[in-house]
Amino acid sequence: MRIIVFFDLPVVLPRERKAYARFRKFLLNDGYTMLQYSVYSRICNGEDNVRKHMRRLHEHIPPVNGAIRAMKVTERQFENMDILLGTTTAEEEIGPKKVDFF
Amino acid sequence: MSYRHIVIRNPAKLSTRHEQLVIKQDEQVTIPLEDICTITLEDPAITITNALLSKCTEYHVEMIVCDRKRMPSGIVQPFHRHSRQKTVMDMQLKLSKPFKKRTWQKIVISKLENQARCLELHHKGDEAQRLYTISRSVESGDRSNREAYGAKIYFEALFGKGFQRREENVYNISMNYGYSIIRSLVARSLIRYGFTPSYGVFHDSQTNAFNLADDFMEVLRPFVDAVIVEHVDADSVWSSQIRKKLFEVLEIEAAWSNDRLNITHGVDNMVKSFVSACRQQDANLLTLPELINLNVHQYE
Repeated sequence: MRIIVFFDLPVVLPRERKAYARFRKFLLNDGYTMLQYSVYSRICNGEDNVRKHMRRLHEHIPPVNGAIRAMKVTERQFENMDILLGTTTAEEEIGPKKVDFF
Repeated sequence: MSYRHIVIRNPAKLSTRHEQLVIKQDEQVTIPLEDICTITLEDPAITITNALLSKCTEYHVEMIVCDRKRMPSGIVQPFHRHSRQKTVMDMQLKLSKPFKKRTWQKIVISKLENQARCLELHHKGDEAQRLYTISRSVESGDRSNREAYGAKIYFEALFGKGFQRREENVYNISMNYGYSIIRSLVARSLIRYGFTPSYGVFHDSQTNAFNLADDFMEVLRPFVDAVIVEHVDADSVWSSQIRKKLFEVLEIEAAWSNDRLNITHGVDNMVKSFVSACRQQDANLLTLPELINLNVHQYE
């Protein structure tokens, strides 16, 4: 299962830029990787894990006028995503396997 | 709850950034440390930063170090990772003899049953029945050493007559490898719950720092054996293919009292159940695994 987070955050005022940077940093620290600008995704191991990360997202909503959306998709739905232009990232290709070899 | 096992088998540079493990090979991959259970370093040409090592202890990630033959030779574990370290240690040291004996009895019974199930999976019904019979005659503390008696029948049924654990053949190498993976998984879990792994309930070697881990891994050995019989022949060569299969033991689904969990997850539950068993001095509270099949556990 994956969580995908989409956001639009204003970066006009210094205060807004700071809030934006903080939110992005939170996403990275929480294990999200960038799919493309303003779209981040994270692998989750089951419902409980999704709930945990959703809760953390709620705790870190920046105090600005913007828009953030989060969506839970299953691994299959994620795999079926069409890539019309560009390539996948290395992180994207790591599946939900429990044992990974590098 | 961490669930990932990472095995590095090619030259790589490991570091950490944004609370994640960064693996730098031809491509760079990052994996959240929070999700990782173990990192196994197989290749000699891996460099690693101290920042990552200290982050690993912080996130309870266990690092398994391998020697030149790619056999696990060490474990890096956090020094103290439990808020009531002393309380748990006191409890562990004060465990009564009868309780330890009953715990060991439970473990041996469960091990024999799993061995029997392993034989059943490989269509050796007669020997399996013999093991079930033996498992019913285990006394408190396994005074009559039913464990060894069962093991002889079991190994000969599995790998042919006259099979010995001490010989150097591909079966034994695979077993040693598989067991060391399980052992470090159990040791990790015990440490998370504040136990001192050198004080066992049955194993009591002066030279063994993981006596308690060796007690609890007994029930999991048949899982490794079952995988070996499935994927290794007497004339196969010890290879990375086999190692890969053995690693997948960690994902096998087993029955733990009422739940169906994979081994990685289940071991944590087993140790948790040992905590409550210790507190109430009741060995019946232990949750031990039942080998049911070799399927990989799926969440979705």
